[in-house]
Amino acid sequence: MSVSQNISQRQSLTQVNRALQHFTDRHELTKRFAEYLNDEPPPDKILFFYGDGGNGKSLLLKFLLNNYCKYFSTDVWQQLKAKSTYELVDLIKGAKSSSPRRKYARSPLDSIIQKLKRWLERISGKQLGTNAADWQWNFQSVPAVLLDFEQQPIDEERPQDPFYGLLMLRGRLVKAFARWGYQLNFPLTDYACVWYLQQKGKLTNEFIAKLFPASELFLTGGTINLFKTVLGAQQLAIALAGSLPILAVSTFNVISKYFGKDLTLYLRGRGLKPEDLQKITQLDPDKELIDALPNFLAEDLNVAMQRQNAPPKIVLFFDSHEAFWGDWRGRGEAKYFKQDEWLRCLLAQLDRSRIVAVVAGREKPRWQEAAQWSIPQDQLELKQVFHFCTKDARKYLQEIGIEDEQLGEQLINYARLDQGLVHPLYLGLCGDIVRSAYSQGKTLTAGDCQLMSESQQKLKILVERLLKYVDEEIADAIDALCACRAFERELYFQLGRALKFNPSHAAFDCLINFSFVWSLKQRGRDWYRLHPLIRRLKAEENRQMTGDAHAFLEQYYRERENIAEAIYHAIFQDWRRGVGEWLEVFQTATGEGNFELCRILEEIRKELSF
Amino acid sequence: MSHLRGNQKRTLFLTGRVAQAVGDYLTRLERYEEAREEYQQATAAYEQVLPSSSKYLEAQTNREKVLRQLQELPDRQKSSEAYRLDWLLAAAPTTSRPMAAISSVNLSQWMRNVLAEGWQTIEEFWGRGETELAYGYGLRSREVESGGSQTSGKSASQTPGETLGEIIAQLGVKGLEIPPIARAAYRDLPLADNCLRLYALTWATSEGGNLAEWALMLILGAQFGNPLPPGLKLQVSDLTTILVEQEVEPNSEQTYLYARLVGTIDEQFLVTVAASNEQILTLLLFSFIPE
Repeated sequence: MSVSQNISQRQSLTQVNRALQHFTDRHELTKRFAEYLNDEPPPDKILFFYGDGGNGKSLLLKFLLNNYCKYFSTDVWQQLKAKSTYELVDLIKGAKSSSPRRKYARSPLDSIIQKLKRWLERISGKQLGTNAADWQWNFQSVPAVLLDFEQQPIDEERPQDPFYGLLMLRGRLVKAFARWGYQLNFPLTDYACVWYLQQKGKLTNEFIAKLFPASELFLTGGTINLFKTVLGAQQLAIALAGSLPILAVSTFNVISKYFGKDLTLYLRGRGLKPEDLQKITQLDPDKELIDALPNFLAEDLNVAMQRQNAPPKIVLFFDSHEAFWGDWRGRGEAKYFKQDEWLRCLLAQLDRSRIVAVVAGREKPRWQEAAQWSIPQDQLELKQVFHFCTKDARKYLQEIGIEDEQLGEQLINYARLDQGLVHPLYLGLCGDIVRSAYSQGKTLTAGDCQLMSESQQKLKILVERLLKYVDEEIADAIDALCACRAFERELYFQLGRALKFNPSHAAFDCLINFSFVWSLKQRGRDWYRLHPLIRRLKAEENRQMTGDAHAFLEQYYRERENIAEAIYHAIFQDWRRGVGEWLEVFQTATGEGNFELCRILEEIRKELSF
Repeated sequence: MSHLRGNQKRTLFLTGRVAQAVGDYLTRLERYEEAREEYQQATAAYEQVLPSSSKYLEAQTNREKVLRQLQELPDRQKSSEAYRLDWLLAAAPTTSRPMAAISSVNLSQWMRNVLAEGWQTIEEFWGRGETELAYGYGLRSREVESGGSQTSGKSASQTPGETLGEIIAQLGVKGLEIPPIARAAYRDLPLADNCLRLYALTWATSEGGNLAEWALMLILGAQFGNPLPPGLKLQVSDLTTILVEQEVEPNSEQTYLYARLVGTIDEQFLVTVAASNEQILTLLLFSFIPE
């Protein structure tokens, strides 16, 4: 038996990110991250993970987000630090908190308890608190958020955009704080955002409800108070026009317990007068306010972390830093550095003693070279994310149920790169092949895996081999879905019906269970995307099914009046037609001062490099 | 995802147009450094369009335009670091720029051939018609029109009257008529190594023998008809509200800005001319007070 019996059960584990479930390795990097959260004094740096595409950086960030955002008391941390890296990493992962929010102040009493514990250990000759269960109460959960710059921009969820990217970050921070029972408010950011939206004519009831959902209404209350303070009630009514009723309702609910005098105290504490905030309203929304926004968010976060009831730390994860440029390089330095300027501005001003920033990207950042918001090299800690070593590759295969050693070695050798390390994406695909074959009643052996070793062809061959072991409709679905920047179940079914590849829930569940399919939450729903390297590979094959999918998607987005997304798919079908339309829409948008649409179109230009 | 295949033939001409359009967009946002890079890419793309291409001539024309736009781009742009919170919300600087003195101009005196200091008459527009007021000249109260454009021919040897005549001919095409009774004068305004010229035309209308409204036409150009410096502003207010605000946009090649206003007898118009660095070059308070 070359494949574990567990495989069939594991394949039914849909709706989870299988790759994350079987995360392996990265102990040194995980330990370093834990040090950022727990060391005193903390490393005053931004942690930057870099490495080749497909080697697991995104997985690492998600893994840290899910398992390692934990803050330990000083003594517990010192004990943990004394252990080996492997032990430390396992212990932190295993530590569980039964309370969503347990304040673990590093108090003198805590210190006495820990000393007493060590004394007991000495006299009893036994070590206390070495298994994960014993750590149950000994950490405080740290709010953490992740922003993936490669995520498909949909409506207001546009992670690379200097306005909406910050707004996404703000929204996720509020949710992360609320999850652990903390309150967070962004007086300057909210004030500036509402003002920006008002200037853009977007401050409608619907839009406010979308950006400030019910769970965040207290923030809106804060915002309305800010406006009241600055503008006075009469001007407020004019400024907020149609959105006033919904704001008023939220204010009614929260005003008694939130903000009110806090605002006065906040301003006084910052040495500001209400009139100072009026300066924000004097900024041109597209030329000035957009550049000022990251300053407000950084300031709000720094101030929030100084509050008495603030969490000990927060973590901001930023993934796919390279997505700011796509393949779009060599277009000039000013343009290059402008792309992630808002991120540099934000990172440069965060209080790093309380706010941990972790960024992942394929290349080392060139932030020290930037003319604006330069971040010196000594403020960065660069950590390369390597491919798997053999030991971890074996562990991964065991995790996914491939227990035949000979087959395992064959797969590892195939996924091995020139330097001897094993490529995680290739290994994941190898696992997919074995699992798909098994689900069709075929048991692969080492002899079936005599594959060639040209590394540049490996990905292509692996995908081809995988498609041999899946049903035809799944193979067609992969060809179609690689046209999508992201997809969800409903879109999969629509595509399937239009392109006649017989969509089914079972096939969809199988698809999203592949190692190269990532899940993400977008607009409150489960979305998925194929690994960018797979998408690129399939795009190069230029299959009919993919072309038909682009044609369908162009129409799909036109019907939804999402012109930018329609143009994106038009370009894949016919470059001249698509780019010609892009130019026409861009020039009209510029002429009309619709700079938000210009920014969306610019992102498409970057991604498709024209 | 740049590896596009199939019907994916790219054209340099279209690539150039995209870069040019993005350059224009960035110029509007005053992101001149990025705009420069886009214009350079546009130029490079147009240069590679082959003479055999049907787009060759258009590419050459576009290239020349982009080269001009490149020359006119300001060297510096505002730093995004200017919006650091400490700077943004800092107290206003205690030293403010000295305010320019306001010069008053009573235009009713022009009807009696009396000009204030610094103004010079333009004979071609002086006493062409009857001195009586134009009856029933159909303008609404507080009518305002404004804009900016380019003169076709530029010559240093043109007299102020000829230059003004050319501009008025252009404005006539746009439907702005100047009645023969109008009086015109100009004054020069020094600006660094440039010299601006502000032309003013005025006339009045009456109803039943009484003065009803008066009109003011302002044209701000350069002394020698060359393009105006980017960022130059012409603003007119009635002391409470800004009625007109015209600004020379970068790369626009505008040779003049204009504004036409109509007011009642008790109204005054404050005209401000300011450079791109907000330095006020002149403040003129126009009125039409019969004596």
